Amino acid sequence: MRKYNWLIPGLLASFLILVIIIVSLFGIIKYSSFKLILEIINDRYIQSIIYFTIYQSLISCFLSILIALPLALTIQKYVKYRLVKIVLSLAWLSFISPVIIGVFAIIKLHGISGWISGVSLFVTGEKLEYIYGFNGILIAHIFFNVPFALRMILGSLNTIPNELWRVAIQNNLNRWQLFKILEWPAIRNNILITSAIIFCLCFTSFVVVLILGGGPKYSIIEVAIYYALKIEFNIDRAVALGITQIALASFLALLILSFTKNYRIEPYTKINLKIPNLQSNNYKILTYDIFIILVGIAVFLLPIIALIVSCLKVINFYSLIGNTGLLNSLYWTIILGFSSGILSVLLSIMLLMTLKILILKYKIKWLAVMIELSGNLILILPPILLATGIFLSLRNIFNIQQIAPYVIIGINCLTTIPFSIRILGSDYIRISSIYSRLFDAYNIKGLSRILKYEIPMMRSSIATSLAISVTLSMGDLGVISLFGSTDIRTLPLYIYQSLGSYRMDNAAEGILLLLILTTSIIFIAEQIFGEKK
Amino acid sequence: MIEIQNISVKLDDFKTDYSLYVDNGEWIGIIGQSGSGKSTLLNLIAGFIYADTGSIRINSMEINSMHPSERPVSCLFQENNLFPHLSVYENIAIGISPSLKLNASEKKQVQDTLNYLNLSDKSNSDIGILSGGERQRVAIGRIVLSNKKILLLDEPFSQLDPNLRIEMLNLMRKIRDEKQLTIIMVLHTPVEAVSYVDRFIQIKNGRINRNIKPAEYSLEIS
Repeated sequence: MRKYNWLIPGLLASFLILVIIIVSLFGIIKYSSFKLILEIINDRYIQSIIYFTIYQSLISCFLSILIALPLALTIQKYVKYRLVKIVLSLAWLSFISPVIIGVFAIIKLHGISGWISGVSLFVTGEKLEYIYGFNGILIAHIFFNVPFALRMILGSLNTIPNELWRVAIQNNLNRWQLFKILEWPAIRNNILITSAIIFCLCFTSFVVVLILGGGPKYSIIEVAIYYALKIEFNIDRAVALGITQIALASFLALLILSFTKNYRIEPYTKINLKIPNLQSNNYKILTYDIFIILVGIAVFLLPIIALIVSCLKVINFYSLIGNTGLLNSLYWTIILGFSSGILSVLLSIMLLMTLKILILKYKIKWLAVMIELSGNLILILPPILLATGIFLSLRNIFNIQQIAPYVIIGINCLTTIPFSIRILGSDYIRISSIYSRLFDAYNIKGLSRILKYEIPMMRSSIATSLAISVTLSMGDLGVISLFGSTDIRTLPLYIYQSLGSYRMDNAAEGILLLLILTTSIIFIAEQIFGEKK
Repeated sequence: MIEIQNISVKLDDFKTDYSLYVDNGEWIGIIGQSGSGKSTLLNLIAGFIYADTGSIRINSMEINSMHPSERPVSCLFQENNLFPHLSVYENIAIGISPSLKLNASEKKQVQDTLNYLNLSDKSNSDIGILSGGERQRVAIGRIVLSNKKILLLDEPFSQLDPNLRIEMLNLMRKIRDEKQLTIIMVLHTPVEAVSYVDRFIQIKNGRINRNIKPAEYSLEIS
């Protein structure tokens, strides 16, 4: 029996994950019927939501790529300058920070009381009101996704060998020829992957649409589920929307998995472009470069500056200490975020321990696929839907308020497992395949092999996956808004409620704390634990 | 004639100071330990790095501030000389027309180059299916077609097997003699080039340490 001990961690982790998913699906199925599905097809409101979800994702994706492509081609020439590196790091931070921080930054710049509206008031005597609705959704999606697309395109450009740049320059290729012969072949495959990821991110962009959508007219499916549950108390509609979401998300998950199978996303700090002497003294080219960089600054730097300025304005130590609601939110953010993050990394390692042996030693592909699938199932079950299912299943058995923290931890843990597996997986399999003979030769096995050898060697990827899992969980607004209460409230919920009641200073205080918290976690993970020895 | 006078560049903690004279048609072999500054010298001549001080003249023309494409030099690297998505024909044609829109006369020149290098049967081939030697011949084809009189070769044949290396050196000698080229070549295995180069230059710590005649070098290593 000891021979099969290696199966235990993976099967146990799969079991725990499946229990949560099955409990949730049970709740959804209990309320679904054929009649409901027919209603989904015929309900004009649901049809319009599906149409809008796809439409806004396509437009956001197209605009993000349209801005990011010329920006990447221009900025690559200036990446060696420290200031440009700082700007890129800030842009990357805006992508990995909790979404609500970015949304707040957008409101501070584009909102009715924002900077642009302030300038308009000064110049024309009228405030501008354009942020809520389709415009706001597009602006926010561009703000979040341009840095990501920029990162992906710069990564592709980074793969062009130095020698080829030199051959191109020596043969006097002009700007168009450089793009056609050298740059486009390097980035074209990645553009497709990037577009697919951005489309999926916009498709499930709960927080942006919830805050900036401005009501049911500009809603996506996940937000409509939230409205159905929280505002209308219409469980039937929530379930109907949930089934629609599962069908569409299954298609998207297949799309994204097939595109990104072996893709690893690195932070900007790891980009080291080696392009020689591309700067030009040509007046026209310099003017174009400056224009493009100004567009970039307008897209992602101005909101960040607006955010920082508004946060600095509210820094008042005594006010922060005296705000018990804020401190309570901070407490729950830390507790829930770290619990979900640690659990996510633990379950991912358990899955990988079994997967590794299945893949490397026994080569039982079907079982490996099944176990891996259990970790990735969440990709087709959006958190808000999972929470809905659990709420429906357990509401008659438990006092939901009492078990709320455990449910929030469980669901947020599940949502981050696909990321953890992706980050840890390649490193774990690589280390195992390199050192397996050495481990066998010295009879290093069991727990001591994992704790003393494998985990220390994976220090960097464990730190990264833990940081990403914790910050993603801390940034959650969907699950906490369903299960949260006045007692259990995280910073994103505190900020959302403050924004909803126009208490902008309170929202800014929450943003400041969340920003410091998540940035510190990412910094510690990357700079202190992330260094490979 | 190439005249290099005290060109200096600071790269992190590494500082160079080169002075060198090369006659037209001369073939120079550059030797030295790794990190001594051999490739930096080629990069300075090619314009991939601009010198902080000093001057580089080619046939009495100051080229210090010239863009790499305006300098009368071509480069051949150890690898990555070819655009992987272009065919053999297109990779050579870039040497004469970066837009790849060739007139009849240019097409004939490309075809002549392919014939000259025994690559005509590979004209439409993908780069991926070529052997290491064939790839370098394609890159040489582009250089020949670009009609620049100075060749800078940075260990171009070090990834080939010894027989192929000799074959490529013979090809370079043939091209040099026919096209009246000047060659400066960083060498991975200097002993193989003894019967090809006119002299060796040894570089040490970013400076030209000494000139060595091939016979002298043979004597030293024996």
